[in-house]
Amino acid sequence: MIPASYYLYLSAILFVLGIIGVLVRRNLILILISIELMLNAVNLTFVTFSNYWGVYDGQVFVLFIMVAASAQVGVGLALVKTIFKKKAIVDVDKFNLLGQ
Amino acid sequence: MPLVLFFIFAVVAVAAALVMITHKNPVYSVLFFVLSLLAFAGFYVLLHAPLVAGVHIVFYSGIIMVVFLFSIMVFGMNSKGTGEARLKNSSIIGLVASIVLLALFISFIKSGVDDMSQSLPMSDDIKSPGDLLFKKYLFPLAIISILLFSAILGSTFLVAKNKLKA
Repeated sequence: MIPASYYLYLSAILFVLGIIGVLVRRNLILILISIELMLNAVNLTFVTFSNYWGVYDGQVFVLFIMVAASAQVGVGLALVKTIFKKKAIVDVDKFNLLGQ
Repeated sequence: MPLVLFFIFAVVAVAAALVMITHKNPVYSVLFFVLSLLAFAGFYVLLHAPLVAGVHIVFYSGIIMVVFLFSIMVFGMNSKGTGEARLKNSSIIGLVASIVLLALFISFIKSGVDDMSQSLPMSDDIKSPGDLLFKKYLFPLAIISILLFSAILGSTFLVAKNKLKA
């Protein structure tokens, strides 16, 4: 039997890797993917506690989070595509749309 | 045996995530993230959640990541024009802050829960979460389908605005 704390440590590590990706990378697409990594780490925590308490509510929550993540990806990629079409850059440091 | 599998999946997931956030080419990043997601599906199987594991593979690795790959390749959003190579001061501060956050998480997990080995018996079927989804959580399901529908409408409008006018 695997202790639940192993899963918690693992999801903490993966969540922090996602945060590092958001903070360090400059590519807009990579930032979106790092957010997906953070969402997946949280999903792993949900399923871990669902297993720990022996109830299925955590698994249902994970399904809801997946749907929300897909909505986020759809709108986010549409925004990235619109900005890319206008400016031809995906570098977040070069976005100064307010200053135009 | 499950412990060995857990460590194999853990190493794969963390290593693929590390390559994902450090690789220069976004296409490789997406592919390594797909590898990480497959390791996640392994965790879900180990945790007696086969429905979540299947939906995770089909939905994340099969749909969301393909959409990412598609948009990178079709619109040509490669790493050109992004000054990724140099590490700026703000990046170093972000790195340090993330590591402090990790230490915080670890100390929290260590102090908050002493014995996390309890596990109640769960059946390995997909009927029980499905029952819960369509009975107890029917109203949230309706709400989230409306959210998904509005997201589809919004992204379609954003991308095809000019074509809709013509």
